[in-house]
Amino acid sequence: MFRYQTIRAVRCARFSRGLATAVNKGGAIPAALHLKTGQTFRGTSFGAPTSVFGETVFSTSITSYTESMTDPSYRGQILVFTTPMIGNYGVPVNQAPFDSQDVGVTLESKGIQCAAVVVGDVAEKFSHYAAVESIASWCKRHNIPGITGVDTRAVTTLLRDQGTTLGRLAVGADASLPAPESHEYWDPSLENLVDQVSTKEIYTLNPNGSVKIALLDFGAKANITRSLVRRNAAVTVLPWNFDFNTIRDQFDGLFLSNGPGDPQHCMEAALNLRRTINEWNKPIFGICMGHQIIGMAAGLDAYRMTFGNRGHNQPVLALASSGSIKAGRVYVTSQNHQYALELQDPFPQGWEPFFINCNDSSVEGIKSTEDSGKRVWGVQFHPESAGGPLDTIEMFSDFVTECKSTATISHQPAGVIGSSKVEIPLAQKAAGIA
Amino acid sequence: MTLKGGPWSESKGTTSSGYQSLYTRRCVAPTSIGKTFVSLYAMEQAPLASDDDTLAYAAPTKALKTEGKVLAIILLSPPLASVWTRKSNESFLTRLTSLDNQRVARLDHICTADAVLQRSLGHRRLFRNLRLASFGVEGKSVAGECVFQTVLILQPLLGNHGVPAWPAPWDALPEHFGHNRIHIAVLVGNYTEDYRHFLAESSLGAWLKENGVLALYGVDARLTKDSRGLSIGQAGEFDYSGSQAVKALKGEGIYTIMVNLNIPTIATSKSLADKVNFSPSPKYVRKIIKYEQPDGIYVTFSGQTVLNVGIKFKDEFAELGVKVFGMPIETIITTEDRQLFADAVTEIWEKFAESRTVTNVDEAITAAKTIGYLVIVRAAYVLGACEEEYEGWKEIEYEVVRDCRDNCITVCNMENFNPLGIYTGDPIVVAPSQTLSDANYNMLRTTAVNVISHSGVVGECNIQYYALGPTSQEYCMIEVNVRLSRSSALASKATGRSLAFIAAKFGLGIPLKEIKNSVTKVTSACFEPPPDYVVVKIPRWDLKKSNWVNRLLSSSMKSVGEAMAIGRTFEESFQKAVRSIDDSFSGFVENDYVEDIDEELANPTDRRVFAINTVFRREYSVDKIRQMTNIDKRG
Repeated sequence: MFRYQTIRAVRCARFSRGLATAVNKGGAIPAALHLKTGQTFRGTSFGAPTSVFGETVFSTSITSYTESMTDPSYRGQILVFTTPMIGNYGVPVNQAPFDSQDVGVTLESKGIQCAAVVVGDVAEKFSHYAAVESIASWCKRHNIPGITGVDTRAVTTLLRDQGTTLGRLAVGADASLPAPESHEYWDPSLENLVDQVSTKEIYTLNPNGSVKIALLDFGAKANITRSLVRRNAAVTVLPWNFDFNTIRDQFDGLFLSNGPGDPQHCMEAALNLRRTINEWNKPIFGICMGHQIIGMAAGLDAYRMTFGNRGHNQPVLALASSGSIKAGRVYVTSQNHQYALELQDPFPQGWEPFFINCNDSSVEGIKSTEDSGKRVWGVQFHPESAGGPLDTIEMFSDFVTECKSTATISHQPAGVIGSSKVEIPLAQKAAGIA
Repeated sequence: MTLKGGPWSESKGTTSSGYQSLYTRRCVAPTSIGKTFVSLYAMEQAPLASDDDTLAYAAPTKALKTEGKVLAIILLSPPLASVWTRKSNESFLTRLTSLDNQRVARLDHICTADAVLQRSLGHRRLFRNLRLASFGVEGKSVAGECVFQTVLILQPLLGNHGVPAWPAPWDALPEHFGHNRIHIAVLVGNYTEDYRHFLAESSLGAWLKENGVLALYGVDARLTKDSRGLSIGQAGEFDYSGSQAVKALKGEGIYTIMVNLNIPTIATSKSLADKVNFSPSPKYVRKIIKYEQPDGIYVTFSGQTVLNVGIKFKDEFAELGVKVFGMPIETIITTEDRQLFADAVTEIWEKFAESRTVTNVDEAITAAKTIGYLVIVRAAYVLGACEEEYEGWKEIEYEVVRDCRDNCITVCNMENFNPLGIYTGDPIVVAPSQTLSDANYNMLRTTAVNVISHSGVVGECNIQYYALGPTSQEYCMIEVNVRLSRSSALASKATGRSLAFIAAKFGLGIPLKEIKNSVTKVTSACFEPPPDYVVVKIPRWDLKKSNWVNRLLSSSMKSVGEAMAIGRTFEESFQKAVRSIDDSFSGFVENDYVEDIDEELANPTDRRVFAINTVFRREYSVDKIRQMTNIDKRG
């Protein structure tokens, strides 16, 4: 192990010499990425000069460092970019008019969600018409540390072999301290991260939209809400553990968002959802964590993958047709998950696999069967992209269309459909969830 | 020798010392194809090419090299009475392709012997201003129709070792000859009557005269360099795509015939196609099809000529019972015709999202009212307007593949270092793009995928954008190439994903997900490679060798080659690439290549990158350089 570290150190040193744009050498603050498995990668710090613990994961996306870093699913994670040069196009203004048409941010959430970032070569200078600041100053403002000058290919190879590993990014004086003992590493998967990123209060966007959709927020990316609102849906965002059954009659559809961490922490939501599915026949759509919750409600098990799938290039094969999705076609999707649903044979009664990953054959989507009379879809990937390919973006249109057809069929009182106000039962308010 | 660095510069003793065998070897002429083949067994079997021979004649060869003489032999074969079997024909071809591809520079047309002589006496550029002299039989021309093959064997001098004793008529297996008849007439570049060899009995000229063979000398083979065949640096990508396609088809166990004019290529080498044919002109394509009775044909693995052949034979292919694999001909026609293509794209935009084209604010408001809000107003052009409007725009390319089941992936995107207006052959290219945000990247990706799906491309396709006005999300699509282009070859090399290979499989109806990823071997090929490195390609401009060429880079191709470098950062790759272009460049470092710096920055020539380095040293600000060059600060 000692030998390995020596080699690594030499390589880092050589690498950092070649960087024309890395942070200036004079004032460079040293930083080190320690992994629980014993390896240390050294580089220089950018962003906030603080040290953090986290789960070290890698993403293979070429673009979209801004979207990834603000994605709540990366909560608690030290994000390694395999793309070597990060920061070229700077960071745009992350503010949009918070009105009926937009969700208040241009990126995926208000702040940076990941714990730290690891890059090969950070661009100090940026160039893009929309950019207002560099990634370093953005990280600094949000108190997020970063390390540059690391051989990210070596880190990635390591993570791919040994799986997602706990790590620590030590900055400044901490960098010269010995690596933490293995018991000292903080494991974010033990915590209920969903609870940290989910909304604390209920709010409605685009209240006069043509259909009323409830969104259970496990850590929703802004582009999910945005994609629904852009299709003229009124979206009511609910906290992750809100019992939707109490207000379900006011809605035309239910949406379950993405979210960070282990779905086992959200068993409560899965049990609530099981009741909803049994008793309510309107469309339900889940993405990522939402998909896992749907799977758990259907009786499938979720398991932890070795290194997860994070990137914008995951091919998924559609096994069934539905709306814009054609069976037999392969879609390139954006993904970010550590957990996946177990492929069980036979599948639970009334359910069928919807998508499967072409590379590792993991379950990428499930749906209720035609004859079950239900309309429930769950996909592991992110059809809303941001970032990533827009191959499956039309699934949002499909969902909204389904909700619209329900709205017409169900003959609800006009007042309820058009109304912007969501009635929250007192019991729930009192429980302090909302 | 003046052909320094050319593909045929190497010369060894083998061929020159085996010439008598060469002339006596029969030419192959399967009558049904139209007699397009020539046998060249002799070229590798030179009976007299012992080590001693090579040594003995090395000296005169060398002497002539310094004078810049290059010889040529053009083989003419009279009609043959016997029809050769298909088998021997193939074996000839295999041998032909095994010739190291250096000595055989070209095979040419079928024509009459008279025409040959006419052409050789000045009607063609090849032989213009040459004084040809006869050294074989005189007062005779080869009459009637015959097979004319031209094979240039770039040996500076023939005749050195004379001709051994001619075999007796009963000698069925002549010892030093390929056959006991002479089948060809000869044209050589330089010829000598002085021979010296222990076996020699007569001079080459005397021997030919005796046998009534026409022979001329004085041909300068150097002049053929640009006449046909492989122009330097111009068709490498097609060679690449052709060979990859053959590999893909062979992998499926398909009997493959390669039709390729360029003999000195990889695509025509021995181990690849089952059969190689060197006559790509439309006339012979028909003959080849009739003779070979293939099930299908691919026309998208080469350049414009072959696409044109495909378009021309559109109707005939069906009559001949040949299926066009891969790209449907209709798609080729649509994308080749700019107006048709513009219409097709407009069609998708209508399908895609209800849209109106507007030219002013009032129209926009009216349109918005008809469509109903929300509307997205954006400026987008297809093949429109003149280029001045796009000054300073980035130029982006996407390589997209689509299979017969409508699965589409973008294999690579590339960004040009210089903004707009420099022809695809010439730009400095960075892959993957480095200055696009995710929204920009995916906007263009989605458009690319939609255009490809809509136009029915099956196989590989390259889309060029003048994208992104430097200050907005605007973009404009400029071109769609439905064939393997230079940038496809670059994308393949950059990503390790052979686009031609994949495209050939698609042609057979194999879907993307069933092709294995050639890099990882385990995952599916249906995924977009995310390089964790940066590729920089810099073309090599050799303009100083041609004084009259305007050094200004413009929309015509002036590069003669290119260097591609892979590195972990743009700086690393760029530096590597600059150093690889020419051994006189030590990289993107201090230099004195450019005299008028400001002029150079404003009007790009081949020296622009050096000028940029110089001004960095003169402390021009990055912004000033940006303003003068429109190069993105980190692009």
